[in-house]
This record gives sequence, structure tokens and C-alpha cells, in this order.
Amino acid sequence: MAYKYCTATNWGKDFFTHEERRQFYLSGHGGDVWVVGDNLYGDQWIGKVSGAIKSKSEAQAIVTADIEAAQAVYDALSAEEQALKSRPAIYNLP
Amino acid sequence: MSVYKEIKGFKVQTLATDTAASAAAGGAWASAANMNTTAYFRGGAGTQAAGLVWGGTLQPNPFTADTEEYNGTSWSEQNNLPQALSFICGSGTQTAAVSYGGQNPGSTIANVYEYNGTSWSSNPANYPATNSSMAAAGTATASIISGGPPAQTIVNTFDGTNFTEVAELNTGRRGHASTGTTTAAMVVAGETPKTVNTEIWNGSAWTEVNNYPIATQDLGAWGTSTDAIAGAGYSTANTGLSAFWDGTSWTEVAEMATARNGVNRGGMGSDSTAGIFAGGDSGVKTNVTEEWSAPANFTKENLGQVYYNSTANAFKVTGYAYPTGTWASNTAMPTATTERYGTGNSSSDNLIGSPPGAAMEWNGTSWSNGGTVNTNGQSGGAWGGIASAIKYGLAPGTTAARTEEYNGTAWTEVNDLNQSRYQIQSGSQGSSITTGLAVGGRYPSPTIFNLSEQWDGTNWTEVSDLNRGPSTAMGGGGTSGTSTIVFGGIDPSSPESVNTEIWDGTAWTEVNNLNTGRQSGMGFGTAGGAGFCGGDSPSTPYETKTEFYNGTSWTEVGDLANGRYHNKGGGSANAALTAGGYLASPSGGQSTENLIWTVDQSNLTIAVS
Repeated sequence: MAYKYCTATNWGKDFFTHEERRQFYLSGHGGDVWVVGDNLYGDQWIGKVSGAIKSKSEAQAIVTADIEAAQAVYDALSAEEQALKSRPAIYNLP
Repeated sequence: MSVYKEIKGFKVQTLATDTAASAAAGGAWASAANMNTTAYFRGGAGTQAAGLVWGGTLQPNPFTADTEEYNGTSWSEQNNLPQALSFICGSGTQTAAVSYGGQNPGSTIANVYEYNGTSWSSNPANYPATNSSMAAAGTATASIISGGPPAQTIVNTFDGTNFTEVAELNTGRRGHASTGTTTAAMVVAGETPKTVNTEIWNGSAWTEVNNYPIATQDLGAWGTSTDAIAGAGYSTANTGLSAFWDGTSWTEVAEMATARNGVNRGGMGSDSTAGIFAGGDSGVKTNVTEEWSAPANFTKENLGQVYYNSTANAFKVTGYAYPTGTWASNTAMPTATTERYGTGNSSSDNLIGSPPGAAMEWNGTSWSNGGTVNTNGQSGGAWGGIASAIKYGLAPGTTAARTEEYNGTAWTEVNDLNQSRYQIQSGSQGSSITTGLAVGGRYPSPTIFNLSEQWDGTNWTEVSDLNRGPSTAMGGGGTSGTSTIVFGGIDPSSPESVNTEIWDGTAWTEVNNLNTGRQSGMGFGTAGGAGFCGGDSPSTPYETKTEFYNGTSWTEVGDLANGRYHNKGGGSANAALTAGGYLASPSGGQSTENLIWTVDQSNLTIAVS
């Protein structure tokens, strides 16, 4: 499956609809990065949300920076607080 | 005047959406209004049209007393909790909710707070111990609260005034989710360690039931003990996976757009048709809300149904998506085995031979004794299943001609093959033991036969030879002695042959070759849809590849995780078992592994030229 990458701020209601979820792949990531299925409907959605197109490497860099910031927050927690959640892990976008 | 479609065509149903196995399978997530406060691990109660969240952890880490109501469209600020709290859980409705325990900035507490639709007040009763990260379900006057860190089994019910300790969970946990009532509840997943475990409560005891699709902590859920949606959480990373619980098993449904953990702790939804998950932590805290909606009316998925999806502008058929098939490990056999015999009608009806001579029955859940064969040996052929089966051709010696029938309890000798041989094709041939085919084989080694014998329920009769010449150690499949397929093996062309031939009851016909030649793998399925897994190939004696034959050609599909040869088993093209064999890791080790092949139904687009 081919993807496109963009940044867009989730404004809430109707940012994406049930129908759109059935029409194309969509996953949201840190830094307002969205991975969008590369089809007609995905293109239309990027237009709807005024998404700023990114290359995969650009999108990955944004997500990685976001996770690194979250890791710093986690590392600053007490041991008791850390026991209640997992340390955010850096991952690769599809 | 003739109408063309009456001569050549047929009517196809037009549907706006794809068919679905259930209403939940046709459901999807949509974005809903963002909460005013960005937080995770908030308490939750109510429904999609009338939800409530409170407390939680802000970014980066302070706790909050903030409370918000959701009216199905937007969030509105309400009176705050008496103190800032996180790692809480809740139950009830938007106008009658309860918050249990949690952490304030300095400690874990046992306080219980009640919301009446306007403001919070302290309930005189405290939770029986200071606790956090629990899960609750039910109403403000009939709740069930369970677990706590690191993996507590304790469960209490609450009637609005008093807590009563009830039977403990079988598996302790924190960060789990719970749905239902004080007389019929369900708990799912959580940690420590992360678990897939699901338990249901009948008012007096917890019973372990079928597992959640992934081991995860800090997920959310809403619904009842027989109709629920769970989702989000943290497994090896944040997940957006969501699943439908029908009271018996979990089915993965549409994935949330934003993978995150720590969504509202207390369901906002009544059943699998509608609900919401609010907030969470997707790496950073988030205020996003996703709204689940499953269609009240849907068209039930039927295998083989052809329809036109007017939204997608595509003709579709409901079928098995073979390229997406996968092998998954299941309960190991009691005895390691290789080179014996194996068969099966599915992935829950299989019979595997063991070195001591006892057959092992697999019913989809567990292994049991399948009787002891009268003549033990190696590399036999078999078909049938646990109710009735037939096996033949086990090395060594003249006993290789012996044929035995299994009646579900015991093995009985019947008439021998005309020619003693072993390494006859490996693979099942349907459930009827009165019809089948034994193809190829060797005896004594290195003599290899170009020989097919057909079983009529009483006797073996020699029929036409293969086109390829003398062959042994092939994989095979079929439905009867008049419809069989063989592939791979050792033949004059190669010790790891790619040849494939189909028997139609009269003659063998060569069809398209395997992509990867191999011998001593396991076949399953039929001439119209067959699989071949493992085996000894030119590149490795421990092949991982599985190939699928669609009636025309072979395609590589899901690999075995651990390569092997002389694995045995069988089943249909969409549900099969392979067991044992010599393994790649540890090299040459004899295996007790039991792997299940599963292909899901899917709505496949038909190419229209």
C-alpha cells in the first residue's frame, strides 16, 4: 500500500468521518503527522484538512522528535509514576 | 426481442457499503469534538450522546480536577473534582457517576467521589484500600471494581453506600478495561505483565474466556459482558487496535486513527453500536476524541456473494483472501514427531502420528489420544480426521503396504496396497475414508515408483501413472479419489521438483509449477485451492515458504516462522494445521510445534475488463 504524509491539526468533529475511514487508510502520529492512503479519497481528505504534504523522512523526523520529547518527560517521572506507564518508544512510520 | 442480460447476464445486488460479518465489523471511527482539556487517564462514564470525563494527567505531567460533559457534539466545562486526580476509574452515567481511588499529586488515595450531573461530592465510604489504575463497570449504585497495580486480583462491588469484596480475578492486573454489571461483567487485558487474558463474571465467579487480540495495558472499553468494544492501549507501542466482544470471542474491527493509551477509564457507550474514546497519550497527552459507530442495518457477509458497491464503484465478491493467510502457533503436541503421518479436514479436526505409534487427535483446542496403530513406521500417507481416517504405507519393510482405518477410537487393518511403498504424497483428501488416492513413493529405497492406486473403501486399484515419472515425497491435497492434486517431491527432473499434476478420476494433467521446488513438505486443500508449506528446497532443507495454488497458478503466501521438513498435517485451503517436522532452529530438532493456517473472509474486488 502506498502512503502520503502530511501534517494537519485535528480540529475534532468531522476532521475525519466514518465514511472517510472506510475509503482510505489513515493513522495519526505525534507532531500532527498523518499517514494517508494514497488514493483519490486520501488526496481529497488532505485537501479538506489543508494538510501540509511531507516526505516520509520529513514526517518521520517530526514523529521521532515528538517521541524523544515524550521520552524526556517519562525519564523525569518518579519510579512510582514510571511503573504505571511504559516509556515511549521510537518507531518507524509505515 | 431478446434482451442481452437475460441471455448472458445475471442480476447483481447493489450495496452502498460492503457486506460485513456483523454490525461491528461494518463499524468505523470518526473524529469527534476535541476535549477542552488535554489529558490522559481520565475517569469516564455515560454514553456517546451523554458522556462525562474527569481528572487525568495533563502535559507534561501535572494532575487535573477538570470535569467535562459531552453531548454528542461538543464538550463543555463542568464543576471540578474536589481534588486533582489521575489513574482513576469510573462508572455510571453523565448524571450519576462515581470516581474510585486514583492518585493525587502526593499519594494514592481511596476516596470515592460522586457526580450528580452538576457537581461532585465525597461519598462517606472509601474504597477498601488506597488503589489506582483499577477498572470499573456498572451504575452509580451497582458497580464492580477490579484490579490495581502491579497486578491485583481483588474485586469489590459498590451499591452506592458500601463496598463488598467478591471473588477475585483469576489473573491479577492493572490498566485493564471492564464492562457490564455487578451480575454479568467482563475484564480484559491490562498488566503486569501485559496480558491478552479476558475473564467474565456471572455474579459469583470469574471464568477465563477467549483472549483479546493483543497483550496490552491502559486500554478502554464500553458495553456489556456480551456486547462490547475495547480499544487503544499500549502493547509494544501505542495501539489504535479495537475489537468487538460478542460474549464468546474478540474480533478485530476498524482501527482508530490515533494510536494511544490511557483513554477514558470507564466506558462511554452502552453496546457495540456506539461509543467514544476521549483523550489519552499518543506520545504526548492528547485531547482528541474518536467516535465509534456501527450500522444499525447491514448486509450480512455470505461466502461467494457477488455485489456491486456503488460507493466504491466496484464489483466485489466475498471470498477468502488467501494472500493474507497466516500461520500462528497453538498448543504444542504432547510428543515430538517427524516423518510419521498426518491429516485433517480443517485446523480443528486433525490426526497426527507419533513415533511410539499412538495417534494424536487435535480438536482445535487440545490434544488427546487417537488410538495406537497396529503397524508403526515412518513416512506414511493419510486422509480423514478425528472421526474417521485412513493411513497407509509406513516404512520399513514389507509392512509398507499395510492400510488401516480409524473409527474415532481404534485402528483396524484393512486391505493392503498392491505395492509396498512409503513417502507417498503428504496431505489430506477429504473426510470420506471410502475414496482416496495414494501417489508415488519408494520401496525399498532408492527404488521410486510412478504409481497411483485408488481406494474404493475396500480395495486399492492401480490407475494411470503420473506424467512426470517416478516420484516420491510429494505434497498433496484433494477431495476424493477422483479429485486430487500432487506437487513437488523427488522426480526425474529434480530432487526438489516444481512439478504439479491434477487427477480428475481418469488421468493426470500437468499444470503450472511451484515457484520453489521442494520435497517432504506438507500439502493441504484441494485441486481448486491448495497449499504447500515447508519442505526441503534447493536453498535450504528447512524451507519456510508457503505457496498457494488457486486452481491456475502458485503464489507465495504467509511463511512459516521456523523452517522445517517432514512436517505433517492437513486441512482446507483456508484452515489447516501443520505439526512437527525437523526444524531449522534448533537445527534438525524434532518438533512438537503445532501451527495453524488461517485465511479470513474478505470482500474482494473483481477485475472487470
